[in-house]
This record gives sequence, structure tokens and C-alpha cells, in this order.
Amino acid sequence: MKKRMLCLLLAVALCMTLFSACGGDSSSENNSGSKAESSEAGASESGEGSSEASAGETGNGVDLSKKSHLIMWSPGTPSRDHNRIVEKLSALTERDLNASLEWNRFQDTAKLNLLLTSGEPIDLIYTANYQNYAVYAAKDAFRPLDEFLPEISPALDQYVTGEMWDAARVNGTIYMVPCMWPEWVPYGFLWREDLRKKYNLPEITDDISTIEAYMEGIKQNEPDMQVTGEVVSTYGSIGSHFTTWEFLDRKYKWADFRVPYGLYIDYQDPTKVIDWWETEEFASDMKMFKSWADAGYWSRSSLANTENKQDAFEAGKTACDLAFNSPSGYANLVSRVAASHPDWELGWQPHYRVKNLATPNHATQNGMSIPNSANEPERGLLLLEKLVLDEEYFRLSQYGEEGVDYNVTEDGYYEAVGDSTTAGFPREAGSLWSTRNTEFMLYPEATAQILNELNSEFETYTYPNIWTGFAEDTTPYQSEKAALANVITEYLPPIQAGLVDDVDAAIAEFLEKAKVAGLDKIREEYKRQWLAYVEEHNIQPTTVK
Amino acid sequence: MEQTVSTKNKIRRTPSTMAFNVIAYSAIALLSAICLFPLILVVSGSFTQNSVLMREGYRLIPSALSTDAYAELFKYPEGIIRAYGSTILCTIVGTALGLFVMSMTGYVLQRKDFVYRNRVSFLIYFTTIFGGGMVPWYILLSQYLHLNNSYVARVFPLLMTPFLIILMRTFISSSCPAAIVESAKIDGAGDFRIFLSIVLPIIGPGLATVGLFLALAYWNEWYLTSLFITDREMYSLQYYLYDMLNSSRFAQEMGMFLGDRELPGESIKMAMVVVVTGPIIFLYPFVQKYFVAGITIGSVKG
Repeated sequence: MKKRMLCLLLAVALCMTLFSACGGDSSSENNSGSKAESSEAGASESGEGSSEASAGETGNGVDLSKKSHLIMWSPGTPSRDHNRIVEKLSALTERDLNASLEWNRFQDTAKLNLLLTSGEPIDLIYTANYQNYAVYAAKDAFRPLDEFLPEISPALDQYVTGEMWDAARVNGTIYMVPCMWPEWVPYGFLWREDLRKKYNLPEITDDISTIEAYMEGIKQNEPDMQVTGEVVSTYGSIGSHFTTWEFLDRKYKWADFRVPYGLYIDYQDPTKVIDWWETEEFASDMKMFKSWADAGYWSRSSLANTENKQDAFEAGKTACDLAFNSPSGYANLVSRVAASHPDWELGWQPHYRVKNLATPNHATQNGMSIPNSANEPERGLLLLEKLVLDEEYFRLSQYGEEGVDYNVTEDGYYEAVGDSTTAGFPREAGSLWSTRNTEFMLYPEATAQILNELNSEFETYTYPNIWTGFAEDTTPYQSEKAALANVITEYLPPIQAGLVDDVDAAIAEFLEKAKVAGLDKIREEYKRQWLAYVEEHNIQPTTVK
Repeated sequence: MEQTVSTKNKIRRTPSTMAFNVIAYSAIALLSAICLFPLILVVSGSFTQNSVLMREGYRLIPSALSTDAYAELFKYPEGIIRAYGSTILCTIVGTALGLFVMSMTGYVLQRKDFVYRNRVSFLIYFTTIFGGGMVPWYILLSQYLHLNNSYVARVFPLLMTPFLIILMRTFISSSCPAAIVESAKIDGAGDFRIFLSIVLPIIGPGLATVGLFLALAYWNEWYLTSLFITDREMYSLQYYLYDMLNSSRFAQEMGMFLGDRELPGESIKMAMVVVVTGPIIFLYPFVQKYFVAGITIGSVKG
């Protein structure tokens, strides 16, 4: 009898593990458990806080009399002298907020997921749309800030504009404090201007034939160099893609080149959503890449190459980069090249310039949130206020100690002490991009000029970012999406790299496999969600000049 | 009588034996070469100038010999030294503790007069098949046991490995006859006395084997560090290496554009690999025979 019961129990246990695997997320279960606990705790805490309104020292009614401990997390690897800076910062927080500070770093999205789903006590954490802000917000990982923030920190409430607050909403509630520093991060065509002049190649203009002429010229004249080192990448796409895809951003006035599932959303009329993989334009773009691959502009083994494009360019191995990212990346490259290869000259043509449409980083690109598991949410918010709006905190957390890590020149530029090998806390080593403040920011002289030039140029043709804030809900098509990602990873990069024999046949095969994986169902659901988003946020058609 | 150890007096080799030898030796030589090849590339890469490495790729013999990578690595050696120290500490402490606990467990589980023997064995074995998953495990260790950012977090989870417990149990039951234990009991020895003075000396080889496996597990551990350790000074050696090698990949995956940060060059990464794995490569030949002997030690013989 006992043995029978045991066998039955074992069978039931087996079945339960089966069902728990295919049922909902274990993370949401854990989260709702911890959220229920901490929201109770949170409610009682804020209740206390408001009743002792006059008892607090500073901080808008927050009681600071009890010594406590704050925990902050930001992404990246800690630099060599990270602990020294944390100690100094902790001294400041003990002075102003009566709380010591612990500043930890997370290196990958798996760790971030663990932190938020396990209900680990965190008072302030970096969040961003590319780190699944909307997904976590929808699962109640973060504390709603609509009433909490104006009460505790009116200064922050004033500092962030109403537009940015609205853009940071998920399901109508604000869960993060967005970064107010305007940033445009287009990809662009990077080339060696000294080589172009040397071989008398035409100037690079908006016309794509000038780029082709440059690449052909390099191919003829520099047999040792590879023309460009395009590789397979996974950033910003479902599955992987070949980096030539990012080059297409210059051609199309679309909402964003990262719109997934082969859809094209017209920037000028956001309700217009086209199945782009099936169009003639897509096929002709892929044929253009094929002609470049056949001409030998990238090696036939590019699909297996894991080398970093930027490293290859800096080492002089490649002569151009079809999609080099961001003005600050370019500015830094220029200053590094000035030291390592003084005879070089560089040129960068941002894709925004070619299509005359610049979209700044969305509000949710960089932000700080307060998780529901925070022990000290009020002081966490006050810490954020200090990090953004107090110059002493700002300088220390972003640049380190003046005199030890950096100096400010007479013209107000940032000057590093020592070089990259000796620096214990390089500029922005804390990865606190979300607390950047235009007023306090310091730039190295070499990069400041380039950045200012480019940013003022983008300002002249900037339009609102309509797509990045859209939080896709993938639960209706989770398994189809995973299957589709596999299909994309297998079939799309060779097409984008032009390393297929017959482009039309390859595209047809790819689409067939994608449809089997569930492409149509995903597209339908995505379009529906997108159109609902457009209506909810009242995104009107605009004309781009 | 003359003792002749004549070299001509060999066992006659048939053609099939010779053919087998040729094939076997060449196959193993090929496999060894395939295994050695990446190692040689890494070592030669570490002795090449970084810019040359980027341009020309890896060669068996460095085309531009330079020790710059090592010079830069040892400019600030505290990181590596601390990581070495931390890993050695965890390995020694963890192995000692783990051996002690697991040998006791194995001994108890093989005693025939332990009534709950089967049930406890089943529970231990059960955990290798079913688990709660990563998030509950993380919650248990970090929220309830508060093991965050401490050496305990790196030592504790590996202390009772079911596979090694079962290995230990089988070994003890095959090498320690029940009769000895009984006779010691009749003589009036307590259980702990029996364990310390009678059983432990007998199971020497078993301890060596399990100890080696355990030491290897602790030495190679990086996963626990990545989950629980936030203080850079407590990183394990392997995680330190992993971190440095993958810093650019992490950055790309997270979508971070590290404009200002210099990421480690290729030759420095190779130098790092040599520094971390070099000592173990030299140590391994000395302990190899214990591994080989130990693989069969837990099996049922005869």
C-alpha cells in the first residue's frame, strides 16, 4: 500500500513539473508573491512618512533620523577603483541622507532578471527599454512614481518635462525617471578620409554610388586590406542579423530600422504598416548587397567572423564600416586614432543626415527605477535627486575624484589623469548614463567639438521618436517568436550578406520557413498592438521635409 | 644461471597488431595535435604585439615578438593575485570541509544498521533529477540564507554533491567490511571513534579521488561568483578571466556603447588566459594518475 502511494506521488510530481514548464512564468509567480509582501510594507512606510511630515530633517518630509543603508545597481563591469569611489559617495550620502551606500553592478540580462524576479532588496536600479523595462514594469517589478515622486522630490518632478514623463508610462503609470540629456545615436558610414584622398576617390555624399566608388577604389588599391568587416550581430533584432542591415537606415523614412518581423512602419503615417520582406525594395537591397559581396568587399567567411568591427578598423585591417554607431563613438574613435595613427583622417556620415530625419533617444532609453522590493524607497529617490541635480554627487559618480581621476581645464573641458592603462575610474565608468545632466556634463576637448557639431546638426532636423517607447507584449506568440528567431538566425544573415547564389530563391525559401514558424500570426498580433499604441498615445501623421 | 633480459626476446608481433598500433598511434597523435593547436595559438598570441595580432591574425609562431601584454597585465597585478588567492582559499577550505562532510555521509549511508538508509539515499538522489529551478534556488540562498557577497556563497552550494556522496558510499561499502565495524563496536568504541580511527585510514584512495573532483569543481567555479559576488575583490579566478574576456561581448549584448572605456586588447586577453591556466597545466601531470585510478574507484568490482 505504502509503495503504491509513493509511486502515485512520484507520478504526480512528474506531471506537476511538466505543467509548470509549459504554464506561465515562474518569474511572475515569484514576483506577485514578493510584490504582495513589499507593497504592504511600502504602504505602511509611506503612511508613516506622511504622518511624520514635520519630524524629518531635510528631504521633503522624509524621516532621516534612523541610519540606514542604500543599495544601487547599474550595468557594466566595475573598474579597478570602483570601491574607492563608492566609499567617497557613501560618505556623501551619510552626510546628507543618513544612509551608507552600496553600489553594485550587473553584467548581463540574466543577472538583471534574477535581481528583479527574486525580490532582492534594491533601492535604485538602472532600467532601459533595451533591458526590458516595459516587461518588468508590466509585471509590477517597479514602484509607480505618479504620486510618490512629486511628494518626495518636487525638484525631479520639475526637472523632467511632461513629454518625457508621458513617454515613460507603461499602461498609463510612470515607473522610471527618464534621462533628460538629449542624445541621438544613429549609425553611419565610417571611412578613411586619408585613403580616399590618396587614391583620388570621389567625395562621400548622399549618393550611394560615391560609397560604392570608395569601396571599389580601396579594393583595387589596397590588396592587403579588407574593404569592410561586416559581421553577424544580435543587438536590436530578433535572432541574429548581418550588420549590412543597419546600413539601410539611410534609405528609408521608417519609424525605426529595428521594427521586427519584417515589418515596415512609415514614419510619416504611423498607421501604415507594410510587410517589408515581401516587397521589391527589400529584394533589390539584398541584390545590392550580393553585388558587393561578389565584388569581395567582405570576406566569404564573414558569417563566422567574431571579430569586433571597431577593433579591426582601428588596427588598420578594414577601410570602412557600413554601420558605425553614434556620435560619441565616433568622437572617441577620432581621439584614440589621433594618438595611435596620427597620419589617419576619418570621416563619418550619419544615416540621419542622408534621410534628413533624426530621432533622439526615447525617454525610456536610459532611466532609473525604484523596485518594489526596496527597503528605503524614499531615500532611494532622494539619492537619485542628488545624483542628477547636485553637482558634487554628479561629478563624483560620473567622473571620480577631481585631481585623482580627472581635472577640469580652464575652458571647462574634462581631462583625464593618466592614460587608459593607468586610469582606475575612467570617465563614466559607473555606467550611470541615466543621470546625465546637460548642465554639469564635462567632455574631453577632443570629442567635445565633434559632439557639439553633430548634435547641433541633428537638432535642425529632429523629429519625435515614435517607436522605441512601444512595449510589445509577446505572450500571445511566445513559442512562434522563438521558432521564428531560429528561422531568422539560420536564413536571414546569408541573404543580408549577399552570400547566397540566388537572392530571390533564398528570400522565397526564407519566407516559406518563416510562415511555417508562424510569421503571419505574429505580424497580425503585432500590428494590432502597434495600432492600439498609436491610438493610445495619439501619434499623428507628420511630414518630414 | 644467467639472467638475460634480451631485447630480442619479445612477444612476436603479428601484422594485425602492428597495423593496429600504426592506426592507434596516428589517430591519437592527430587528436593530441588538435588539442594542442589552440593552446599553442593562445601562447603565441600572448607574445605578439596587439596591433600585429589584429592585422595578421593568430600564428603558430609570433610574427612580432613582444612581451607588452604581460607587462601591462602585471602593471596592476593586484586583481589577478587577489583572484588567485580567493580561489585557492575557497578550494582548500571547500575541499577539506566537503571531504569531511561527504565521507561521513557516505559512511552512514552504507551502514546496514541505519534504518532510514534507503529513504535518505533516495532524497539525496531525488535532488539530482528534480529541482525547483534557478529563481527559487537564488531566492533561498540570497534572501533566506543571506549568503550574498560572501565566501560562504561560493563554498556552500558545492559541499554535498550527490554524485560524490554515492561514489563515497559505494567505495566505503566495498572497502570496509562490516565485520571490522562490528568488532570495534563490541570492543566498546563509539560511532565517531570508529569513523575516525578505523574507517578514515582505510578509505584513503577514495578520499583522494573525491577530494580531487571536489577541488577541480571549486577551482573551475565561476557561476556562483557571477550570481552572488558583487565585490570585485572576491571574484574567483575563472570569473575574473571570464569577465575580462567577455567584457566587450557583454557590452554589445546589453546594447551599451562604451565610447570612453578601453576594452582589453586581444593579446592581453591571451596573456590573461596563459596566466590563469598555466599553473594548472603544469600541476596536472602530477595528479593525473589519481584521476585515472579514481574513475573506477566507485564502481562495483568482481
